Amino acid sequence: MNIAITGIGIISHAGINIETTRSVLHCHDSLPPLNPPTLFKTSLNVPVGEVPLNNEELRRTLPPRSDFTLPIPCSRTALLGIHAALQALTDAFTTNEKGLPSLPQIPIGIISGSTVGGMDLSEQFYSKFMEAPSAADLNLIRGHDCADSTQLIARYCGLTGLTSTLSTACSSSANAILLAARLIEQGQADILLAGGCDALCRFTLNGFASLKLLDPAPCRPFAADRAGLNLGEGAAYLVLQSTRSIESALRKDIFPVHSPYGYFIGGANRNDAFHQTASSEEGTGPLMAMTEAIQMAKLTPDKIDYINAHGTGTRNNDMSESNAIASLFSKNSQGIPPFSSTKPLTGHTLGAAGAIEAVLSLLMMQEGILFPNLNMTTPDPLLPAAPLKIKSTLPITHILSNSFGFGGNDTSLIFSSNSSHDTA
Amino acid sequence: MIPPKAYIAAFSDSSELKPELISSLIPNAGIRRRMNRLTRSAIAVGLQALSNSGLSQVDAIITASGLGLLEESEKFLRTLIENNEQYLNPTPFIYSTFNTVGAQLAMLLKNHGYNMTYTHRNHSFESALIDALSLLQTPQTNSVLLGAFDILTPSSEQILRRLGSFRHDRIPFEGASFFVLTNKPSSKTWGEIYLPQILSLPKEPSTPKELLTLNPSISPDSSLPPLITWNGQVLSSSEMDIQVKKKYPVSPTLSAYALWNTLYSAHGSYPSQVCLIYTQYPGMPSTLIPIRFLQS
Repeated sequence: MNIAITGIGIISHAGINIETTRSVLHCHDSLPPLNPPTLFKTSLNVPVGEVPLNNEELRRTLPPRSDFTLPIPCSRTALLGIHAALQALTDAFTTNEKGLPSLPQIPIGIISGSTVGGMDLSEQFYSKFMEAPSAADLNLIRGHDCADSTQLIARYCGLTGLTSTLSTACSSSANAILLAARLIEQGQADILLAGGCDALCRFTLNGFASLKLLDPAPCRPFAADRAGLNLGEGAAYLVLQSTRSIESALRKDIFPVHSPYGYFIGGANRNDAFHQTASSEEGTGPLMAMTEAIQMAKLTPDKIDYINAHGTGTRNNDMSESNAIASLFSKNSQGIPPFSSTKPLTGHTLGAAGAIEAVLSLLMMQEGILFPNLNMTTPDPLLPAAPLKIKSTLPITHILSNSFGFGGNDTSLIFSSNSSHDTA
Repeated sequence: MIPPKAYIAAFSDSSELKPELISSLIPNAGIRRRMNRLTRSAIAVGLQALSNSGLSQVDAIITASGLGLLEESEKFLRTLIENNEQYLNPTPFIYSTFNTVGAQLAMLLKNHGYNMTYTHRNHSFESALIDALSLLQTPQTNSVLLGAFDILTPSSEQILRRLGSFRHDRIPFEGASFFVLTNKPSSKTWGEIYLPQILSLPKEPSTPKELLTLNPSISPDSSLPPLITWNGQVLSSSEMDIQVKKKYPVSPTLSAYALWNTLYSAHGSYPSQVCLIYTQYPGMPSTLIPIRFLQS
């Protein structure tokens, strides 16, 4: 498989666009730490990775469309999604005088993942609904479903191709990339926008709190003293394009805005089939997903230069994931490749995490830097492998990115700086 | 590109599932107790479809739901508000994720294969079918357990009614339907299934004849004209006005039920014939799912 990534867009605690996010990868000293939520009322005093713009600011900073107005109110999930999607499309194609993407004359579709959809507004609706069912404002519930953000992104960006939404918990947007790449590979589409969006809300914050999975301090993935995860929010989208569509554009003298960030060369989704929320200790599902992804990319494990780990910071995930990494890579002559979790930067952005980490991986590949596993003083001696502690600079050809979710949903994606036929 | 197609090896629906079958399909009482009625029933229907196919395992499980596990989401939200974020039982949260049914099926079947869940409003089942057909083109996948479910709760019914979903005497509807699709025909094959078509048209077709002009890109090799089914009932070729049938059932995954009902009630009567499964949805384009019945 060899699908070009010609545009990327990202909005998270680590940066509201590609440039701010890129600079954070170089130097994260000025990034504010994760703090308790400020955008909604909650009694939970835990750090979260908020996007530093409120809903009004998110709405105001969008380029206006004359033919379409966003609903009022509009879920934060959709607002974040539109921001990242517009960034990706304007990055891949050109921007018109209104600040909107000038899309090529072929239908572009969108495949998006989300876990809570418009729950931020549904919560407000439901409080009122419990008091007076017939008086609660219906405008707060219209965008409840996960497809609402997908539909609004498609409308706002002028996308007319295949539109689909999937929801597989924390691997949702990684799976969106997986499906988009397969449909392009099979010729069912030429250009697809793939990624995901999720906003913080009381529902998920309390959900993870009830499972006792939230660390009251900044999360410390793979560390001896790790005590849980920090939630985050955001969105990221990738423009996936067949090489034939790039070549056909070239024949019409339509030149790409820039060279591809990299290529998606393989990926796999496997199920741990162990427990609804916990991972198997040995990491059966993660190991299968990584193994299959590497096979599909026609690589061997020693060709992986860096692993962007799921690394949530929970006792269970990090043990399961590092056991799987050790089983697969410990036979490499040069040992286990460097790996780190970028969740200390962004928080765990749930449905958006897979796409956010794909974008971070592509930026690391472009900059030739490996971002370290922050907040860890002592690696967990009970784990078979320790993550990257300090930032390192080196050429990166192949990155494997993991995203694991509730329901044992395990996805591994592989990005390459070369198209796969160059590496074969 | 060759238009993807697959073979339907089995089908099952909650409307034909006897409640006493649920305990034999899901023998673990603990698991049954932790699940609500919809989750239980959807999982049982999935297991029943697999059992009907004669296969003991599938390579992938793909599910669809427009609104997911509403009972769980609502229960968690209600307690969150009532208890003011204190003393929350995590169980409803754990089971509120859209992929719960697919995940539980994987766990019960010890299935480590591809596991995906679509939730694209009224086109959720169509989205899942697109993935299933695509996956079956890959060399690693010979069989897929594909299903859809949607539930009504007293609150969701009340909210949907206020939103106008049940205007024109449309009927609230819920249920679960599952199918086993394979990439090769077998002695169990009931028919072939093709890519769904979303009818994004300025005006809804009003007659079967109009619908036929929208015939998707499958080439019927028989001289017989395609049949059209509406929620599983074969529409006569006379100029019956589809719009008269405004009183249709409303569920985001209605097309899955319509596919099941078509296979259940019409198989055997129309050998080799192409059948277009026509489904209407409030507020979103109608869809066509083309199938071809097995030769007699």
